[in-house]
Amino acid sequence: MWKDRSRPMGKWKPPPGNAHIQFRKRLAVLEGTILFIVLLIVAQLVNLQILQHQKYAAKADNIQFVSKEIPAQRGTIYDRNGKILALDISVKTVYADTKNIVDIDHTIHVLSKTLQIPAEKIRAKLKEPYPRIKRKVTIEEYDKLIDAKLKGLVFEDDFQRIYPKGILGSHVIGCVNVDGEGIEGTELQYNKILAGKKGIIKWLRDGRGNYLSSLGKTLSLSEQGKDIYLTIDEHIQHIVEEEAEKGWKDFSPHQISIIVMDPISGEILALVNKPAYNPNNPGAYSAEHRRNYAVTDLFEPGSIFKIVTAAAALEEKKVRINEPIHCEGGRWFVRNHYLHDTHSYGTLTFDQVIIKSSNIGTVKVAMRLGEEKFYDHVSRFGFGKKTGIDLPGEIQGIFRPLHQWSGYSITAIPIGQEVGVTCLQATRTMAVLANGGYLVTPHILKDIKTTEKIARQEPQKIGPILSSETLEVLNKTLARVVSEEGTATRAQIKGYKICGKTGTSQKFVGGRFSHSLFVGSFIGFLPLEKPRAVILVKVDEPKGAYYGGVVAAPLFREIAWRMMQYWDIPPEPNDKTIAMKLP
Amino acid sequence: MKITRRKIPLWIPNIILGSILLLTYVLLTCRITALGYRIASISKRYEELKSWNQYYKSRILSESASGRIQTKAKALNLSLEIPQNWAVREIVHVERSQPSHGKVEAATR
Repeated sequence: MWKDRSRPMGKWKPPPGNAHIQFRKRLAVLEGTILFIVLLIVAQLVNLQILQHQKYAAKADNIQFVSKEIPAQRGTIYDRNGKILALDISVKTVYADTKNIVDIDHTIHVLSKTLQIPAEKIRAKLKEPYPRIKRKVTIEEYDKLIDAKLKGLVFEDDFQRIYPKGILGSHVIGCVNVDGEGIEGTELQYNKILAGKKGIIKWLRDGRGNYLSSLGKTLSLSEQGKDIYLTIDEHIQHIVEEEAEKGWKDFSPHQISIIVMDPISGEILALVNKPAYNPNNPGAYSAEHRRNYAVTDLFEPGSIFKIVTAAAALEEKKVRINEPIHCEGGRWFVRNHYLHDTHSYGTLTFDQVIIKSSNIGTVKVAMRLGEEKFYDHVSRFGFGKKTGIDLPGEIQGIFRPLHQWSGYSITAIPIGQEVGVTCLQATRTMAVLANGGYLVTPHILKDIKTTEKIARQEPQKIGPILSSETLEVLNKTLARVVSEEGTATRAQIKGYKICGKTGTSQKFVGGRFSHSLFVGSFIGFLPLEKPRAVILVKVDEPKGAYYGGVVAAPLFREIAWRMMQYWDIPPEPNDKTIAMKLP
Repeated sequence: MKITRRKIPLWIPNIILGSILLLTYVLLTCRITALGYRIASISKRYEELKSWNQYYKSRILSESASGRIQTKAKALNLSLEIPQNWAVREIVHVERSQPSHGKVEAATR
């Protein structure tokens, strides 16, 4: 080992002269420099760690953490018996991180085959840095993509609205758009309740880009939307849709609307419009299919409006039920125009006027009431106002204020002309006769299910607007409409007493009443003693036949009969029949 | 004979203790990170299973919808008559040539 032999071993001695002073000075300079550097480092550390802590912590967060929106699951829609009508299922949105794709051709091939997208379309998308390949990818497709172990694919959580019953109740349930926001029906009406609240989470990302959800920070949790229960009964809805389909095939009409309502509570048990649409794919249908005609469209009610006229006249005691009224042989010149009946009637009692649906007899009774009284009674039934149903797009109908009536109006409105009503308004009118004279608010929402409690929708009603005497007499008369002597023989069901009224009206097209386009309707309730359901059937522009008693009454009968079986309501036997419970 | 104990400088146990604490911290951090990966993978699997569950639930609901059952029954030529709970029968008196001996007889149709 090399040793410096020039210096003797032993205690260190300062070099002679002022060399040691010079050395001490250099040492002091060196120490000062080191101290200065250390101080600089400490100062910088203080600056970074304390003074600018927030700025750099945020920068580090931005690199290490990724903010992601947590989609909120939409609430489930149930029918009144808890059967699911609409629900959200988890799906994925597929993105491509093009920098990380290893084999681009293989990736395109797998994506195209799995997601059913043309390969050229995917290739074009992959020219962008972070393209979205497809939204709403099902778990089946997602699993296939995971199995393929493709590099550079990123999956984000999302939800897809599913309507498992397809077309059933589409106009009531409605549908959502691609972003999961309600655009029709209940989905739109109760969007705020169903939608919930999106959340935000910050996920820790490692060097390879993997997310560590457990080491993340949840900034706000997503809140699932609330579940709602509708008043609809899935089974009744199905019965009505089936019968509407039969009516559609038999008469090839422009449109059919059917409403089934509980007359006591105003709960809508079924609501059908045809044409209808499948809410799973609303984009494939025209606006005409998605339109809820029963709520958003009006029609001239024709003879079914005679119920209101008769109720008003009986209530004001302007006519007795058995009072004879001369029906002018089917043609009557009044207020400068001729009024016609479909048959030439001479003198009919007032109940026969209703049963035979005489226009002349009805107008004569209305004229006894006078315009003001008649207007007042019609207003009490809520015509010209919205019913308040919790479905979007309801219109108020047409019932002009008294000062806008012409001299002719008192001869037209009592028989359902010069007025425009919605199917809902007409159904509600019949419900007044069925529930003891109360004007109920039709509604669709039964309950909102929350974690705390179930909020019940209390039925709202106004009235009574008719006395019990009027109701008794009128209901007995309307029960005879659905008998061999009335216009609704085809609505009869053996063993069940039904109250009803047929209606046939000409459509107003191009400023005049059409002689080829009609609306046939029937409205009724059953059983007479303890009404359970009001059913309205409206067939718009039927082909082949057009009378309400021919096109609408048979549909009513089938629906009512099946409902009675479903509810297990026994028929009422008389002295010629017996009711048998079948095994 | 007097035994003299060598004094250990204070910094040595400090460094040892510090190293042990540092090592424990590093090990714990590594363990937390490893657990984080495991939790992330398990929660991903849980979400996938939940999605499958929802998917099958919606499929069952779709397949069991009345409309779907009817379509299938039609395709398979099966009758889907809904059984009636109630029937109304007319009472018809049966005329007999022989005396009824006080018995009431009736038939339904």
